[in-house]
Amino acid sequence: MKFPHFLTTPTGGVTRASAPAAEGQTVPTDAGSILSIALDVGAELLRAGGEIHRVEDTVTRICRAYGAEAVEVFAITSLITAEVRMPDGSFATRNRRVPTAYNHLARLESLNALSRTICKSPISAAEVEARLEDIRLYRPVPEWLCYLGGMLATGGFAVFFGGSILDGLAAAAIALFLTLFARLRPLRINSMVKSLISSFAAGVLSVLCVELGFGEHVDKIIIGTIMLEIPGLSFGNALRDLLCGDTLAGTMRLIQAILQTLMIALGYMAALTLFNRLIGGGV
Amino acid sequence: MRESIIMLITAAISTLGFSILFYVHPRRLLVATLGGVLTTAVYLIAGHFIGGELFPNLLAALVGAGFSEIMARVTKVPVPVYMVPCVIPLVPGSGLYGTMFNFVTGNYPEAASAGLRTLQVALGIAGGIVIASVLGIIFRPRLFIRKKR
Repeated sequence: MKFPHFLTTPTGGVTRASAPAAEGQTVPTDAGSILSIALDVGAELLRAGGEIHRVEDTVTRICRAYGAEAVEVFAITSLITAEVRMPDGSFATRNRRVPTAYNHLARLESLNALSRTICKSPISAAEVEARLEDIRLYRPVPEWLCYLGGMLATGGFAVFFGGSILDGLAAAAIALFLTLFARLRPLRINSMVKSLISSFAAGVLSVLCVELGFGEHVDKIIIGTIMLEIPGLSFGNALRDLLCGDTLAGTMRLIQAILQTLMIALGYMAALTLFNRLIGGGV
Repeated sequence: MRESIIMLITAAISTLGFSILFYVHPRRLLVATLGGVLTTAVYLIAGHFIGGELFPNLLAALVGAGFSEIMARVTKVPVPVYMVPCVIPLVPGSGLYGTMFNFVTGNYPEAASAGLRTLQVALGIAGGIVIASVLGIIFRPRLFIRKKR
């Protein structure tokens, strides 16, 4: 089977010509620097939504590529801890805390490509840092397209679950607001509270839309917006981690997923109850 | 039949939307969207022939996740790039709404049954993903090969 070229190009996202190591930029050989490089890549991978076993595997492979003799890595959803021992007996232990993780699949792809490059031929620490910076700054699509994505997803699901075209449009309009809210960077509130607020707002807006004649079925519009709120696949991923042996990470993810779902349910329930009282069971 | 076609089309639109939202690289959008449509198609066919919630979702998630594992190897990208968008159409948004609505309106037996159905869907999806990932791990180059000292 022959696949078209654009599908099989291995380096996703950022491509950067591999410059030969400049003067003074040598491939590191001491345990500390090696572990530092590996953990930088590993932490970015975890932040971009990589699986636990992928993170552990990547850190191990990078350390070995730089000549480590033994590597012990342990990762959970918010922390990576690793120890590396060199053939000369020197060793280093480092931890990396990873505060938030979200799905950034293009970054995941670029990081994977970077890890492959390093494993093929080790490059200098400065070079790795430069490439990581490129990956961090890389935007696969313009910002406005993300809003369009959120609108398409929500509107599509409102119709998918049996709504009319008008319901889809209403859901898409609400999605624009929700995506805007989710991307408010300066607003540093806990993600649970964020879920609660945004699902309450989504519930209120859905009912208002129908009351104002924009949209026909409240339930379909709400279902569309729920799909946007629910953390994508967290439950499935949690069980996958659990059953693949990453018990601690799996448990953390499972509890996080359950709590988040409860918060979302609470937000919508508050909105529905409010309108049930006001309108009298009309919703 | 008409409903199924509408569902397939909207599944494609939604999967595309979610892929953009999750920053799938533009080059992978086509495959990710196709995966979402495939998953929905399997779900609809299995729902028609088997019925219930658990097995159609399990089969659909298995096919979707298996498709992601295979395409990830073909295109040399990490599995989540395809897996996350592919399984999105199965997420039980409608069941969750049913549970909440019946709970709020005080219809507790209905709320409980909708809740259990939602849980069943979630278990089905998780089961499918797990089977596919385990198969993926088995057919993967060995991870921790320790050098003999």
